Amino acid sequence: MNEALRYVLLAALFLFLYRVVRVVGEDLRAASRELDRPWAVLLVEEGPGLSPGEAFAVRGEALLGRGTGNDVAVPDPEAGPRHARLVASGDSFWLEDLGCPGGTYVNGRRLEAPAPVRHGDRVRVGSTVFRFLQPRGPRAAGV
Amino acid sequence: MHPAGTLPTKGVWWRGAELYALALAVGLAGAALVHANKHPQDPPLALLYVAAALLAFPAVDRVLQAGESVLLPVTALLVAVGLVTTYRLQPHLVAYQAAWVCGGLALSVASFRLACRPVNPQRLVTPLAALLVTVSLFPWGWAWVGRGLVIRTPAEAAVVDVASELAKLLALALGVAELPREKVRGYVAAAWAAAATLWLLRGDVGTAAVMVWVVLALAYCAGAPLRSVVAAAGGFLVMGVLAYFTIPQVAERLRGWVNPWADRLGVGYPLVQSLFAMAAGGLIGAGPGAGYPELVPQSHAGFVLAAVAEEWGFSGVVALVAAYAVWTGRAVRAAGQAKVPWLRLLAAGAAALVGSQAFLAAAGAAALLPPTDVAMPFVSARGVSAAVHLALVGAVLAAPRARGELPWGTG
Amino acid sequence: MGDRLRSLAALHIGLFAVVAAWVGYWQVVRGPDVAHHPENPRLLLAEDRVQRGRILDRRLEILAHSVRRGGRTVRVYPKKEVFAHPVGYRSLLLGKAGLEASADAELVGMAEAESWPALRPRAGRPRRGLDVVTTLDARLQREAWLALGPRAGAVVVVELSGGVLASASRPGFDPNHLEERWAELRWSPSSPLVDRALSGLYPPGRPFGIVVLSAALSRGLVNLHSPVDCGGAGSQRIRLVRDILTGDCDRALVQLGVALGGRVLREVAEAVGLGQLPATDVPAAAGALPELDGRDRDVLARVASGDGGMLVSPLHMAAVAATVARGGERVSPYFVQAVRGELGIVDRAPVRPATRILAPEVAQAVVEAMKVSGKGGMPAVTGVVRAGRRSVGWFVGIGSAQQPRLAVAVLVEGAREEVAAAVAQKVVEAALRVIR
Repeated sequence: MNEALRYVLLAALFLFLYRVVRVVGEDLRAASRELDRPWAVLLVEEGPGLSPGEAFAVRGEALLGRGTGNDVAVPDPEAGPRHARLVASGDSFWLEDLGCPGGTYVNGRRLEAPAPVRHGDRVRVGSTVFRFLQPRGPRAAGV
Repeated sequence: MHPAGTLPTKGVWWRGAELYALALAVGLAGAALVHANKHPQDPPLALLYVAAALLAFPAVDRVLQAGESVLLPVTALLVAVGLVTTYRLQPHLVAYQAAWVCGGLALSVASFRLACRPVNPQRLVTPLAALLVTVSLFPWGWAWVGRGLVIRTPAEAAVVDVASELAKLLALALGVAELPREKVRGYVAAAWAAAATLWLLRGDVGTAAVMVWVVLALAYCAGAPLRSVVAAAGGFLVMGVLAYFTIPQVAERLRGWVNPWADRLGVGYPLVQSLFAMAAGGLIGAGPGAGYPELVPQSHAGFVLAAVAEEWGFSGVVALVAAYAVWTGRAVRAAGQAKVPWLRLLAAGAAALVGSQAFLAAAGAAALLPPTDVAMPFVSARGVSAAVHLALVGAVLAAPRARGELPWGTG
Repeated sequence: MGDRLRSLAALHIGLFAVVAAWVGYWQVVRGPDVAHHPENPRLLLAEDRVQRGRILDRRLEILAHSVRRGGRTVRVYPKKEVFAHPVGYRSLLLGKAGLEASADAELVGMAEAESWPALRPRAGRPRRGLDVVTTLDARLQREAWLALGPRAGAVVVVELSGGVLASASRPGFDPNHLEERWAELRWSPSSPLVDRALSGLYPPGRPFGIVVLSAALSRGLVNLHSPVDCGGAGSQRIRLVRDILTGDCDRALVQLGVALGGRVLREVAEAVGLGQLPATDVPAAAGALPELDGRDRDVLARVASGDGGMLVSPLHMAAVAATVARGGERVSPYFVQAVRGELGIVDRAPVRPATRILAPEVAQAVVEAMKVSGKGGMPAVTGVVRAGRRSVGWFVGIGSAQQPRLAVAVLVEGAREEVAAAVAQKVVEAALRVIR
């Protein structure tokens, strides 16, 4: 009984480590992929919970929405918990509305389907407005 | 057209749950073995404490939704090992240790929330510097008061423990607040030097070394020239040599380390016993509760690695050390993802704080370095240490989340 | 910035790798050496979790066993003081002695795997050690003990194979009550803790003549019918070599030793085992054999008469007599004949190839001479020597004249050789009954 428990202990210990190493490895691979993916900045222009001039860096993919679980946390009562998604494809970013009642707007036009966004576009989520900036510079900025 | 709908979503919930379940399995299996081997007559209350402390981790994860899938589970594993060794060596303390862990987790939620707000710690530099020196002076004052009252207070050791943990944390906080500036102010550097010297003078090389290590790691990450970091480290080593010649406790430790076998009943006793314990453990160990780690002095605190080595074997040591390596790696990763300068430094400094203490404690117990009384973060049966480091975990988890001004390198 | 973070992580992870490798070295590579270090307190502590094996006599009578008494395990010695010396004792306070010390590894069950992990308890259940079966005979040991009576002395009876049938020493002590009487025993002037049979060292006296005569005969210096000058006056002056051990002719024995020379004398004494550890499996004293090569006549004369710094134990002398009785093949005494586990015999005493050190004719001739000095009884040599301030009576003999089957050495402190001879007579009669 005790002997069995000892091996359960060792097995749990090393299964844990194996799982952790798998996750760490996946994340490292994802990070190196991420470095090759385009990056952009969402600069706050106006919004209830954010001050103009604050910025969010986006690399590869980002979730926009209320609450800290999002990459771009928008403390805006009109924004949905998971409001929109920004996804890099090739060299450019696509914006996707995740079906919140408020809707997502690019340059004042409501998004019906995922659409590409360009440098300088205005993105509105709830009542928060971002300026989308995608500088074409050196990729690895150390972020 | 981009197939956005098929992209994997972030934060797979069961991945974290599996890791927490495994950490819980380690804690419960270890505690059950200790119970069966050591206290078969008593009611198995310790299992309840262990379960309660370890189940608090997924709860906190759920509340924070930090999106970091490894750091908190690895912390839970370290805490599981710690609770089992506490139950093994200080069975009367296991309830307190579990309570400290739960309190530390509550603090981590608070520190996560705090770090997510737009805080500017720059204003805190002066109070932090003052507090650091005060805390470092506290054990001296306490000893002086005790002598005046002609009582040897049994609480003195506890006071020194708390002061040591706080001093290390304050040294980190001061760096986090000060170092995003271009140039370090003179009185801040003086506060660090004074605190490290005060601990060194007490013969507590471990606390002084951890403080210096953390501050230098912070300075390095903040962009200080490598030359000055190496020079400062060299300066600390020179002070250590001076301490060897002037402070008897330090000299004794060092002689016990250079050749522990020469005086194995005197200064070499702890190290020789520690090596015996490790040798007795072998590859897979005796099993929790089936060895004799109580023969090693301080095996519940600084020499906890000897206890793990004897009862969990070399495999347990590898798992423990690997867990610390993953912990520091993930904390540094969080630093890399941080968007706010001070949080980036905080995460890097937390990695250095936990990494340096784990390394100094492990190397000291294994006679790789002279032993210092540094506790192993999360594992040693020192409640304050566990709570302080758990509180830090919250801030590290917040680092990639918290928003702030334009990140570096974009301008 | 990113590079600096990466090197910070790399530094810490590298340091952890160094620690893991270092611990692995001490734990796995050097682990077995360090774990077996005699000062490792785990060795003693781990024994408490092992049910220590029993010590048995040749008929499996219990000489020592472990009994649960009031929640703890106690070592019990049912034969009390009779077997105190050869069996010894084991106490957490006082350590171990006798067979309890020398057969310790077997008694705690280490002989199975001979490694530290084997000692570790399996899931908390006490393991059983192995039983040690000795060559001793409980009845004969009791006879020897009783025959010695209240006198200080020792009796050793050895089979010609080397198995020790009895090894008694007086005064003794009760190993069941050792700890409470330790101080008294330790400082008693009669030294009851010393095993006179194995560790008591005395000058051999006339019985050393067996060695001198063996050397002289094997070098062809004399034969049994050579005349020797015994000194004194009258018709008793000139005798034959066969009478040389009787005690009337010590002068001739000394002259024979001097004539042989130091080198030869020492060579033969060493060959029969003097000056060396007499037994293979219990702690016993090696004794002393002085350097003789190139020494002058006086030194040689004193050694040839069984003194001059030479020291032997009764076990040594029993081995010498047994060697002669076995026709010149060296006899090395041993105490452990087998080690038994729960499933049967695990290990037996190794059978050593016989080493011949004397020609059979020489051994036979020495036995003839011993028959003469035994005066019609068993072949034997007796003698009295001074050891310190008292005289010590020796009797070294071979059990029975018709068919040599065992050798006996008796030593009695503060008494004449006749007393030793009387003790030996009783013991050998009992022994011949026992080994039938």
